[in-house]
Amino acid sequence: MTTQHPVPERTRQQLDPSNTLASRRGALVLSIVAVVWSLAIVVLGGVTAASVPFEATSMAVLALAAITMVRACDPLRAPFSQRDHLTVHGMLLLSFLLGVVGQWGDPLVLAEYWAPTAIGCFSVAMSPYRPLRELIVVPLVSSVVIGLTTVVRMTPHDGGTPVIASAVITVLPILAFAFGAARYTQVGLSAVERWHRRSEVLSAGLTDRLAHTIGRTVQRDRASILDLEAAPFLRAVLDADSITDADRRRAGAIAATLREVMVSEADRSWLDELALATPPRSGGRHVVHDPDRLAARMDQRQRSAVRALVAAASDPAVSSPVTFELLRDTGGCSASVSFGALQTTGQLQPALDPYLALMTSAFDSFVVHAVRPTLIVRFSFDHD
Amino acid sequence: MVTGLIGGPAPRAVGRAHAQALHATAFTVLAGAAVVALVLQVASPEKVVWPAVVALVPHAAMLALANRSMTVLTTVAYLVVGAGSVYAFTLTIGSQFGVLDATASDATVHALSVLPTIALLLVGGAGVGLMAGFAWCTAGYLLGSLASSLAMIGLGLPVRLDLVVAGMYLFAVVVLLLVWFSSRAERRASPGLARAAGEQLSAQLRSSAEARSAALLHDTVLSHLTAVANSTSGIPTAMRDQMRRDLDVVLDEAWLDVSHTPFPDRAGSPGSTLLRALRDGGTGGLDVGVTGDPGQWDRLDAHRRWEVTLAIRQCLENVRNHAGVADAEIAVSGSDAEVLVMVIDTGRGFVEHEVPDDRLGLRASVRGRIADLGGSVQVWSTPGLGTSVIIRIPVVPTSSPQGSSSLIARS
Repeated sequence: MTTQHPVPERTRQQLDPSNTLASRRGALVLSIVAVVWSLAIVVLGGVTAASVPFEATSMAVLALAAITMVRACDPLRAPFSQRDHLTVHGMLLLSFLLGVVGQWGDPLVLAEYWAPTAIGCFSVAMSPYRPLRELIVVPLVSSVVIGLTTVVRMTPHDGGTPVIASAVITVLPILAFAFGAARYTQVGLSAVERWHRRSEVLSAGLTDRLAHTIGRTVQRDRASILDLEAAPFLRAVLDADSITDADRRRAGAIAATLREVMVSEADRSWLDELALATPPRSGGRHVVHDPDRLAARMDQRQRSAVRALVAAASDPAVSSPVTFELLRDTGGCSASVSFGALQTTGQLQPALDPYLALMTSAFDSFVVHAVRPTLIVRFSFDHD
Repeated sequence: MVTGLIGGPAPRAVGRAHAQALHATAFTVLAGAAVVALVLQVASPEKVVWPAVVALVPHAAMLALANRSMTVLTTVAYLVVGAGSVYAFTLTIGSQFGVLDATASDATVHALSVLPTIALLLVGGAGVGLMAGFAWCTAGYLLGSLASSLAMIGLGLPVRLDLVVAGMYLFAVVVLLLVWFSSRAERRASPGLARAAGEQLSAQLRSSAEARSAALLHDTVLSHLTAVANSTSGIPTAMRDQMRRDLDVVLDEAWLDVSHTPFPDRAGSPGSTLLRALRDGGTGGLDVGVTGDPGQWDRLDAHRRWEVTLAIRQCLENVRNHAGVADAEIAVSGSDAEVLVMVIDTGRGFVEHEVPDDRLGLRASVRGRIADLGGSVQVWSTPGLGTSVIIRIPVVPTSSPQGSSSLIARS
């Protein structure tokens, strides 16, 4: 499962990745509904011997569209691309046209038109993943194709009803579902953006307060260390008339100790501290292998995603030591997070899904290898 | 990717989005019904179909009202008016076309007759949660079916369960369940993610404070201890005063305040604050010349000027201690987004990766300090030819922890 991020789009999946995870379940259900509905209509409508190959192929293509849809919704493959959208719609239209070819020459029975409802279902399923304009334009194109096909297949006043009225009735499910889905996306995106703006304002205040509190703590820690030896010594030297050899030796020793502490702090990356601060409940300890100190090159969002993943590893359901490996790569940095000796690999991924989704949205080239009893997450960053 | 928002909009906002989606679907259905009815009227002038279109007007108007103001009152009003509209619509179409149920030979007329009922069950009314949505949807379905059945009974037409309407009702319920389950699952994952974001923010703020503290300690206490250890005679008076001031600074909380700067702004020529800061802070006895566009310096705020001055002082200290020359040059330039300061010497140069790990001058006092401001440091040095340290500082602060803090939602 590999992802290369395109230019960001205004979709719910990209603006709010962790909160669109469960949408995949919806896409799965709606895809199944569309396929079962279509199959039922085709079977109940009666299939002639001549039409069987076309109808069967049509249903196979429809099923393929459903599989493509569900596969593209996988959070680990995010984001759902325009190409995915067009592929699914293309297959839906192909499936519809195959059905039309199979029935060509037979009297048109509108009740046997399964495609508009099926396409409508897919449009609803697509709403968390694609931008507003696309959610309207693509189904409109499908409507035009299906409407024109209806007009071509019907003779004027066939059954006493004007052709145009039948065409409108035919495409109405697509339009109704597509506009509904588009409205859901529009209102949902506005809510996400509004919430984002509000949380920015709130968190700015929080950051200021937190920064002051943390700064005071750091300052007190430093002052305590200095008050032990360095500060009293310097004051004594300043108050004395001259500097003795003993003073010089002691100054050198204090400086060496202080330097050692500072170097040790400077050498410890945020990832080292994270590994130390969140030991696995199963015992042992997390291991960080970062010889080139690449962890420092992750931005804040990427660090949050890794932090969340490690926190998940401390969950009783997942509990496992984690090994981090960060290496310099031709395009930037490649990294892997390995969960070892898991006892519940089968249930692991669902437990980690929200965290993996956040990782997917934060890093490039995201890949998950799940081979019992281990799970390895590979990703890259800093591709300038 | 834009952001990894954690938390997400409130359930009320999700419920509102769902209701508005139902309303948009209902509007489309009503519009389709009106178009088809008008087409039928035009195609068959002898029939009286137009009252059906008129019956849709109050239905659409109440839908607009319920969409605008989603209260119990407007929702109930929509259901009542909509049911009346369904009755009138079905009565009109039924009286003109006869049989309306699924057994009718004309599928278009049958589909047309059920459209207002479908619009009615897409009520998406007031309230939050699964039960509210389910209750309104069911009320719309039952009222619409009752109204159309009454109209058909009035016309003497047979009344049967309409599978199209029932199917649409089931579909609406399924979508409602999906939305509800999705938002519930999303809310369950949020606390863990929000906690991680909060911890990252704390870690980042702590790291920033420690970087500033380490740079300050290096420039003051460590530097003074080294000076004492290497002294051959007493400490000059000026240095004693400086050491006392520095001790007071590191043991006080004033350094936490980013607005704190010992170099007050005074009027002067462009870039004069740089020269003054260097003079006030000391250049370690080096002969320092400033070239380029010193006016760019004044684009930095007081805090940044103070921090960059300390970084420049450390660079000059390195020149004095290691380069083996008595002069250095500071070249200032800038672009729209950043100010660039180069500290150049023509001394003996060095290989950066050969510098021992325990040397903290460039690492803490220059790199750490500038990174904390969102800037970057590049070192170009050739043994025997000299060294250039290039410091880039964004004019607008970019190292703020907002990126991380924005991840915290309603935690």
